[in-house]
Amino acid sequence: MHMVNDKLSTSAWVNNVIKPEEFEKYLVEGKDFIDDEKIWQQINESTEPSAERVREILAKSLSVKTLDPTELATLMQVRDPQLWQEMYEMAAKVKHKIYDNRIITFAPIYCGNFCVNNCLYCGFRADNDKEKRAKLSLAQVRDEAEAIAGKIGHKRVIAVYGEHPETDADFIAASIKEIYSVKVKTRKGHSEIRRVNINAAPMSVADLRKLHEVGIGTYQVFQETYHHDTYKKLHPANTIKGNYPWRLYVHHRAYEAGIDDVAIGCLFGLYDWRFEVMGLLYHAIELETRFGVGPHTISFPRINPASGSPLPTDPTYNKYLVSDEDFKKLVTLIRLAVPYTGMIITARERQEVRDDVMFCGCTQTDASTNIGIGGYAKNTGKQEIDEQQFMLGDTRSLEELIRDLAKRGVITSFCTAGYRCGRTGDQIMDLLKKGQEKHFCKLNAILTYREWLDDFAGEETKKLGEAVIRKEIEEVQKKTPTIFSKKLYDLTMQYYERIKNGERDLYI
Amino acid sequence: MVNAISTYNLERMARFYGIRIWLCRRTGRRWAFLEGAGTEKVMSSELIFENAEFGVFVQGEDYDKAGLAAEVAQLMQPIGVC
Repeated sequence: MHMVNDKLSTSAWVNNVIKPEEFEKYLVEGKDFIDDEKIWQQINESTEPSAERVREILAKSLSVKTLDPTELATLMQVRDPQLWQEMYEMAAKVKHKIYDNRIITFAPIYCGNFCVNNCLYCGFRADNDKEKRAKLSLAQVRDEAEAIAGKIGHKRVIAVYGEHPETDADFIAASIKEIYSVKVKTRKGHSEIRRVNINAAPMSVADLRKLHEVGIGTYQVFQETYHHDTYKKLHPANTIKGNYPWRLYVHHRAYEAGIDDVAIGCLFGLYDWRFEVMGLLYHAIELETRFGVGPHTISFPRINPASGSPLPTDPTYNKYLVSDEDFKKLVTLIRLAVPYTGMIITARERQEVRDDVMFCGCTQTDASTNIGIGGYAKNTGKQEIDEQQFMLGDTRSLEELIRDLAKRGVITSFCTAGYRCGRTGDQIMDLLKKGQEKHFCKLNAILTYREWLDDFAGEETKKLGEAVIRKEIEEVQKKTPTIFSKKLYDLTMQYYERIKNGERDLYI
Repeated sequence: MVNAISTYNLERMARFYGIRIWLCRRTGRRWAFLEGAGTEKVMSSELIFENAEFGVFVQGEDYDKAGLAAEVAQLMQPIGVC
């Protein structure tokens, strides 16, 4: 009887999720902003551009202006490997101009894998009886956050939830509060999670307000595929996720709810990657046009094998799997098309791919990643296909990643300063577009790197990290007083010394 | 209920004191930007006012801090429950 009641309540919950009036108002003449035919026309009508034309478009990216879809389609037609090399280098240059020499790191926390949907590519799909289902209690959420903050040293997490009444907006809000309440003593100071981003299913404005009120960081929802027919085939019509516009307009609802940072993305390998990159650009333009604030980040995961799911081995779809070469191209094109946005490459990718593509404009990555439910506290060191959404390609620890980045002269940043002083939403967008944010990034990277080195680094990593810090401080000195005032430089160095003495969470 | 500073007042104060000033809402442990005025500079910011719901941040050098803080506090005074 209990089971019957549970099933009934789940089905009643499902029927109540979608609020058509919350997306229909955004449709123009009944249509959403992804015009499949027009996108294909733009791709197909573009011809191979001259080097001169390519450089004109690259100059526009470097001036931090969002490209027009036709300009992006033009770049897709480049065949000359030399020109592609120029494009890779320009993507790195654009990233450096906006975000400086830093990579932000984070960890995902999978809070539950119950799901009412049936997406053909996902291990969490409701019909997958191989998947071991679990949901963390709030005490277990806390254990995860303590392990991440106290043993690994991350300051940012992205909490991930399946779409299910077990992990509804109230549970998500309670878990955000739990994560923020963690404070762990470390070698020289203390550690805590300062920014909780969320990857959760589309919800109503009222539910999104609940997340806003408890201090959600970025709200991340991927459209998976922008192609309407493919979307329909992969997401059964009798499920919540089967409703394309409900998902497409969730970032609009998030802005309505007061959430200031939203993130978009798509799962590459479900449809032609060129179409998907165009879809991401149209999505960014729509958000910029409607709200004056584009996506805070864009993600571009490639599909990986998942337990109990017919994709990606189904021959109908595996023609869309993205090669490593095309993956590098698509990451580069996203950076050039939406120059101001943060770009996230995750541990789904193999180490060699990540090490290469990271330098085509990526700004964030994860490390010491565990995507099992309760995986950080258990710390078995193994991946369990029946307990996670997909298999990871790169299992490097945060320390290993930091060391590898340091060898390439890159500083790992744990900065969350924007959230400490309201540099969020349209304010941060403005700074990013003017190329000013990178100056804050530089100073806060130095301060937060210092914290991590003192609290978590082994001797070898510390030595490499010290060299990176010295180089970064020298650069700041060279830019004082032209970019940084003497007063700001002195304040930064004062904070730096205080951090060395055990104070934490000092920022510019 | 608390009174938030209007865009008009933010712009007026930004001009008068030669500062960048912005109003944020407190959400959990963080601040979310609402409105701002004045030119953003590469310098640190200071929280010059906070109550249960809002915070006001300022970027500036050599301005009348006490005068501004008093003015902001006046504008942010509770206006009663409705």
